[in-house]
Amino acid sequence: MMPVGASPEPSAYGPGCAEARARLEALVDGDLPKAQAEAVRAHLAGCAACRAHHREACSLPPRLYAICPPDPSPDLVPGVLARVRAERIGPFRLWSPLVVELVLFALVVWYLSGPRGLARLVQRAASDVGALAGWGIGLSSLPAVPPGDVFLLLVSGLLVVVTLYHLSLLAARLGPGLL
Amino acid sequence: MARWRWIGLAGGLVALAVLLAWIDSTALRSFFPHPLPVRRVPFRPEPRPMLPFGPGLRGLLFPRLGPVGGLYTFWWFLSVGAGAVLLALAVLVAVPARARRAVERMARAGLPSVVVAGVAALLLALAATVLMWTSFVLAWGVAFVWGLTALGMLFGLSCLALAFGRWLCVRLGPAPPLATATVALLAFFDLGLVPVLGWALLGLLLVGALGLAVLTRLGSATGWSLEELDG
Repeated sequence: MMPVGASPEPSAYGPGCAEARARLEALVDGDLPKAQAEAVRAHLAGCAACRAHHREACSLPPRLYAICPPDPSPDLVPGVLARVRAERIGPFRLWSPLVVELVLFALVVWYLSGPRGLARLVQRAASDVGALAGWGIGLSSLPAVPPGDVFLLLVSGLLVVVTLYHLSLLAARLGPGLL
Repeated sequence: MARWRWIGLAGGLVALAVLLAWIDSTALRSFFPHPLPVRRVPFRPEPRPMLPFGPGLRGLLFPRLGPVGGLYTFWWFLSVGAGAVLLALAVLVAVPARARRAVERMARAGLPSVVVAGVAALLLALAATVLMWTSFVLAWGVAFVWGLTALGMLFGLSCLALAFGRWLCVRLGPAPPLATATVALLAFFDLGLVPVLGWALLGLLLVGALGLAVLTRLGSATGWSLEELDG
């Protein structure tokens, strides 16, 4: 016995309920042929449980419209662009600069007669920078101007260009980049 | 329960660090690289005065504790480790949002890309050093370049610690991010103290840290985008 004022249990099934409920959505959307729509309406007139289902189905579209769409994440557009860009940058393009960099580095090491020569170059640069700083604060005399080497300069310049290009490719995979 | 797991792990890592520092400073001290001989000394500092406490009082209070004793000694290892951990934590405290963003982007980039970026950045710094040093008038910039590189490594190391701490969180249970990062930094320190291999592993870690800092522009919100230049 149902209490007075309570809505019927929506899951209760009677004869013809399953067929009517399967067509409720189409009825609400107005997609049901006229004859079938009439049959469903006739069933609804005599079935409280299906009427409750119908009410819920009718209230769904306005409730969905009432929900405000969430604001898109600020990273959405940059993220999509980054993904597109990353797909455009193939693995060959991404990794081949590393080979060029290592070849150039090996060339520098070879030109300086091995790692010891490279260490001497770095040590000399550090010492000159220290001496320059000492000269700036009046603690030492100005160091001698280092002798330049055109080959080393050219390789270093090329290394700067290649590494910058490579870094910009790698950074482009993460978000809006320089490229 | 998770708290005790974290405390146990941190205690174990500290104990391991002490043990490794003792091994490195005694049995394996000769394996460590010695500083290169200085070609030219710009100036000689004046002799430093002795510390105010005399040997008598020191000997009375701390009979077994003397001077640190230079590079690669037991206390040198521990003081370097403690200093590095504190510096890395200071970065996380100073720029938490940048560190979080950098960690999130690292997950998108993948570790290989980060290491390769580190290698490229190091070679770039080396090439820029040669160019600036040869120009002579720009030689002051060499110190700036390597200072920036060191800063990038420090920032990247903090971010790697944060990421590793998050990874540990999944396995050990929740803990405050600063605590998890501390444990991760202790693990990095232990890794660096592993005899012989430690220097190579630490080098790889620092190269990756530099790559992470470079790729994310120190965790900047806009990355390497130059849209802000458009006004």
